[in-house]
This record gives sequence, C-alpha cells and structure tokens, in this order.
Amino acid sequence: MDPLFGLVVYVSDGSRFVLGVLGTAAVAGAGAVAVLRRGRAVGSGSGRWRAVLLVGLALAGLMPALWWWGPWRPDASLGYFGDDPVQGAGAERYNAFVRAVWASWWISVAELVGFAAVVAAAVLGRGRRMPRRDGGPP
Amino acid sequence: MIPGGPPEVAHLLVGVIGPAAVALAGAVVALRRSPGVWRTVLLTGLAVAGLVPALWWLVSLMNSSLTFVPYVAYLCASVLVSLAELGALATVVTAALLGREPEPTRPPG
Repeated sequence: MDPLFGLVVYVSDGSRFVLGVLGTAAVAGAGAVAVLRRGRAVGSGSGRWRAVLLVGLALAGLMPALWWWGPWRPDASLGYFGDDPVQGAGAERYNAFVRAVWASWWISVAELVGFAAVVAAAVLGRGRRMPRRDGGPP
Repeated sequence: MIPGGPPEVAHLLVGVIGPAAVALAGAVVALRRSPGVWRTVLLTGLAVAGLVPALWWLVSLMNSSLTFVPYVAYLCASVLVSLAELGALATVVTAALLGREPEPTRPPG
C-alpha cells in the first residue's frame, strides 16, 4: 500500500472514530447526565419525557460504538477493494460482508429511532411546568 | 446494489428519507409550539441533521471511484459530514435539555 494512501486512510478513520463514535457518545453521555440531574431537581413530574430522552440518547449514542467494536466491522471492509464476491472461497467472505451490511442497516434503524426520540423529547417535552421560585406548586 | 444485502431503497429510507422526515416533523411541531431562542436552536439542529444525509446521498462524491484523489476527497467529505451530524445532534440535545423554559410566575392572589 502506498504510504501516503495508508496515512490518509489512517487519519480519516481516526477522525471518523473521534467524530462518529467518541463525539456522539460524549454528547449522549453529557446529555444523559444533565437530564438525570435536571430530572432529580425537577422531580418526578418530568418522568415521561426524561425517559424518552434517555432512551433516545442511549440509542443515538451507543449504536455507533456498537458498530465500531462489533464483530461485523472487519467484515464490512471485505468488499471494498474488488474482491470477487461469488467465486469459490470468496463466497464465504462475501456472505460475511453481506451480514455486515445487514448489521449496519439495523444499527442505522436504531440510530434513526434514537434521533426521533431525542427530537420528540426536544419538541414535545418543552413547556412542562418547572418548580416556581417561590416554592409553590408548579 | 449488493446481492443478498438490504435493498438500496431501504438504505435510502433509513439513512436519508427517515432523518429528513423526522427533522421536518420536528421543525413543524417546533414552529407551532415553541417560542423564542430555543426554537431557533432546535430548528437549526434539525435542519442540519435532516439535510446533511440527503446532501451526502445526492452529491457525486458518494460514487467516487477508488482511485487515489477521488477517494481522498470522499474521505474528507465523509469526515465533514460526520462533523456536521455530530454538531446537529449536540444542538438538538441541547435544545431538548435547556429549552424547557419556566412558566411565568403567577402574580400573588
């Protein structure tokens, strides 16, 4: 492999790991901590939307990590550089590649559901009554 | 199309049309319900999160051949797309967390 090409792939892969896995997990983790602290401060009245937001954050934050460290990811690279997909021993590798594509697809479904849950919590969870500063009922 | 894999239209639905539909529905509801600065934050996040996958799908980079220069351009574009998506997710989560504005305190009596 051309060293420059290897360097480009290495940097790109690292960047996508930082952005797509660590960054997403960090956003989800920070959001989960904030919503848990806020929920505790507000009390049980925020329970339903807090739960929706936490589920959405978990899905949106953990799915990329699951993909990155999952058993499918090495298989996903099998089809990149022109392997013969259906001949002889290549067939087994091709089947592994197809399984990786399916895994990627289901993970995308989970991410979409997580995104929808976070958006639902953002849009519909607002306007809930917060504790009044004077300590009266919300 | 990958024989034996999910149909191309399934990827299109989950990765492009789905996020765009969620973003559009969220934007419509946000416009109708939420006042003020958090509406703007939420709409910005939704727009980026909904449009970036569609932009990626439609641009010619997606079909770049694996020769060196187009492939490098493809990798750079995919990093920028990941960056935009991460920013959008952070924006929407921020709006979800901080956008709950207190009800105005009722006057005594």
